[in-house]
Amino acid sequence: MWNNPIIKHITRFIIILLVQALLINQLEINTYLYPMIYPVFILLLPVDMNRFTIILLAVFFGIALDFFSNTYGLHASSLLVVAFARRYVLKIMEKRDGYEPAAEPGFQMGFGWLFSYIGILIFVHHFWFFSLEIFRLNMITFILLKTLLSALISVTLIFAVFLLFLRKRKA
Amino acid sequence: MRNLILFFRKYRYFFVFAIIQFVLLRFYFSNIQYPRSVAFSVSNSFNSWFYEKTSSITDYWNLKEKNERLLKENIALKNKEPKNFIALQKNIYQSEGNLYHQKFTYIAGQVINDSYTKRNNFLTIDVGKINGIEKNMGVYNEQGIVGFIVNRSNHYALVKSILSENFNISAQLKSNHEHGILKWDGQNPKIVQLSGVPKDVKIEKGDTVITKGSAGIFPPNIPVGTVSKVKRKAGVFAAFIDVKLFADLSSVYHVYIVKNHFKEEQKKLEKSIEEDVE
Repeated sequence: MWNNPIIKHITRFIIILLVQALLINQLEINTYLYPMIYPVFILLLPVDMNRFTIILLAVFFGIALDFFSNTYGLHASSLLVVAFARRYVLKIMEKRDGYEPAAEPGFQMGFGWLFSYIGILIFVHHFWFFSLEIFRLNMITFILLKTLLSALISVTLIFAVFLLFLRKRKA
Repeated sequence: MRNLILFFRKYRYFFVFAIIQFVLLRFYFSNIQYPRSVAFSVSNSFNSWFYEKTSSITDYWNLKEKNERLLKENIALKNKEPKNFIALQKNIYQSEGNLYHQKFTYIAGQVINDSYTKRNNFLTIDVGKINGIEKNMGVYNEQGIVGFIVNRSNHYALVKSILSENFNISAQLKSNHEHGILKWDGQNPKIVQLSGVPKDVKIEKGDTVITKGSAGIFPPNIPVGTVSKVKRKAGVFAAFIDVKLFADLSSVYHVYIVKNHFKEEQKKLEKSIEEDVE
């Protein structure tokens, strides 16, 4: 069943949405740490997927998350930026012999590659998110600090989940 | 013309992105300060139903703390009962009917979802239109003020927490009744800012801050917090005051919603002044 890509992505959609909305959003550590792992849904889509489909999926996922958290389109806007930037980040990080058809970003591309891919896009996402949320130029240091700390904890969480679930299935 | 079409075709990916982004941002900025759309928020019925189920389980976790807080408040109220006092003057007669007229009544509610680390925070409570909740009613708990109602559906209501950028409720210092407006800078969920108090008045660390009640949202004298820091800057008229909140916004369970029976009257009267000026 897991070989069917549509079922796999729908399952991921639901699980990531529920984990983010009902678990991670309820943590509320403090105002500097606001982890968000949900961009992983967009990051893990196949490399050669249609770019407009990805944009639509991002908006749809973001609005679903906004329903849960009183943010009125903030998550959708940030995820849309990730979906848009993903294409260019993938292009820049492409190795000499290109990507395999229908390849999904994962450990088979190398740990360093995966880390910088996730790190860059999560940072972009968090920066966009907190800039819009706080929206004050004179609080730029707070925004940057919050982005940095939250991105750090988000990437750590994402890799913890990866090591727990994704690797096992590959082996 | 052909070039124009070619140009749009070439950058259509960017244009699709920009148009959707524009729509989303417009929606975000028109709703975040004062939510108009119930359908898009936690107070819509599906999410509220979901959060109510969740909170019916998590409700039991802090039962001891909740009971202790309510007990404390009960004791404080019990001490104020008339039967505990003796009359110092025996010859005063009063009839309740024409001396007192009830201005405020209260509705009890329970918090089913809350946040306190975002830039603008909201709480969802389990009472709504059918319980008599209207927009702009004040919300406080046994510790201090919490927020006010910004939107409500039939069974639920959305509370704008004091931890919001433009909370804009007036508060005063208990000692000298100097008043200002409450705002939050988004950094520490225990500290809010009181702006607009002139810097030449006497403000001491530890002074109590209470509500002013001028807009009719809150009754006067509801506790807000204590002054924790005062900063005066040359050239700025107002002092920068940090207020440490009495209410712990990370654990708000039971709340009281203030219904002001004279609010319409006050609003109508104040509106007539504005019309005169124009």
